[in-house]
Amino acid sequence: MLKAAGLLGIVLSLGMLGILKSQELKQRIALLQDFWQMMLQLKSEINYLQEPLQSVLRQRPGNAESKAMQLLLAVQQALDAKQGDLQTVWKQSAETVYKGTPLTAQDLQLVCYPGTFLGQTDCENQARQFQYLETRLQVQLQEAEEVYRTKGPLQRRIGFFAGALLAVVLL
Amino acid sequence: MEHFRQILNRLPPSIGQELEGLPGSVLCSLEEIRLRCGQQVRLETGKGTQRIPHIVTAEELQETLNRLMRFSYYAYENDLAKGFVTIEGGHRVGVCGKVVQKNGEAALIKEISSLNIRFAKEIKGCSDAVFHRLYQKDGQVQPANTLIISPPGCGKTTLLRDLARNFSWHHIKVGICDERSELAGMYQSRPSFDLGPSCDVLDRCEKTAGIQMLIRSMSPQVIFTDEIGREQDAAAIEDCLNAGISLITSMHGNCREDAAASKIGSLLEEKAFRYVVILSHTGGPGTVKEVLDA
Repeated sequence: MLKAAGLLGIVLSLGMLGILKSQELKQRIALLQDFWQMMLQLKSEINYLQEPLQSVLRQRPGNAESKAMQLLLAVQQALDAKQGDLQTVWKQSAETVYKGTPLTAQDLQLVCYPGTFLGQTDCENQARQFQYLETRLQVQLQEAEEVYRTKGPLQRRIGFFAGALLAVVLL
Repeated sequence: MEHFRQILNRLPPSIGQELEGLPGSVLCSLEEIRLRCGQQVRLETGKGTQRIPHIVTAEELQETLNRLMRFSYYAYENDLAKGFVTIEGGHRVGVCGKVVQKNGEAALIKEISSLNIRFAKEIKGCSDAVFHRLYQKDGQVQPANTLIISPPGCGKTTLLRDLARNFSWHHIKVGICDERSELAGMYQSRPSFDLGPSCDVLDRCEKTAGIQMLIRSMSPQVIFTDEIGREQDAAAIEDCLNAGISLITSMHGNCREDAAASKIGSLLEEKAFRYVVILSHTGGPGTVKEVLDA
């Protein structure tokens, strides 16, 4: 009886591991969407209202759960504390805020990209840079969705399958 | 001290720390901070010039400008093309460097070589001496059309600001067309200075369009605007006067003749202004030298 319970535990644990792995793929999509949403807000504040960047950073919506908003908060605090130029501050803040998340190296590169152009050109060129970032984010998001669509169910199945296989071997 | 803190917060630590150590009496009388690449920091106070033994580098100048503009070139691109930016509090920062031209006009300044941070000052009461003269009470209460003339640094803006405050507290509807954000120093919908209870400010709006907008939207009794002198300014002034609204404005010059020889000289000939106020620097910013009948 105890052995059967143990084997069931193994199957369920590995199955759960598979589910968690597939959830990471879903979380990556959510993080990219969240970042895109934040960039859209930033874009409209800059292109339409021409608000100075530090004012925009202060006026961010109060969703504390959002990693993108945490990034803005971290950048604002670092700029206020005079911890360097925007490019360095943005990169460091992005790496800290998104540490341990399922974002890929390529995703992180995109997340760090705004630091290289934000506030450093006229309005026209800011708009071009936002356009470029949006296009790249769109591609990245499509890729993330494709990965989730194909690998998500597979990872879930593999988890349970590996659990079942290990149970059979131990039996 | 408050205006100094606003600037100090925006300076790079290397320069800010040097300034922070200065005695309060120097900080209170600061009028300008001049930063030139390869030179010591120079402080212009009401009592003379003081140097700080810190050699300014090109990187520090760039960082200072970035911080003063809050890392937002796009928000200041029009100002920067004219060689200055006005920051929170109405303080003006003059910029020199290599000018990049676009369609034959200055579009940007790069390789910054010097910065001149000029503190906006509020001297309450500096207009009291002229206020009662400009405030006509013959029959109808109405401010007189006035042109303030002085060389740079004599307090034209300071006097205009205090006059606006005085009229506003006397329940005259005041409209300010603040093209450079210096008169009111608007920040997050509030002026940085006391402008009284009856004042409407159109911030960062070009004078020609701004005067029209104020006339149509706010029905002011008097409009204040700073530093006129272009041909199109003359047309805007005429529009204002034709609408029965008083105008109090300023221009660079030493005397009435300088104004008469400028592009708005015809307005003086036509007696569009009732008074010409000449300022001097002898008694500090905003000192009235004489008030002439135009």
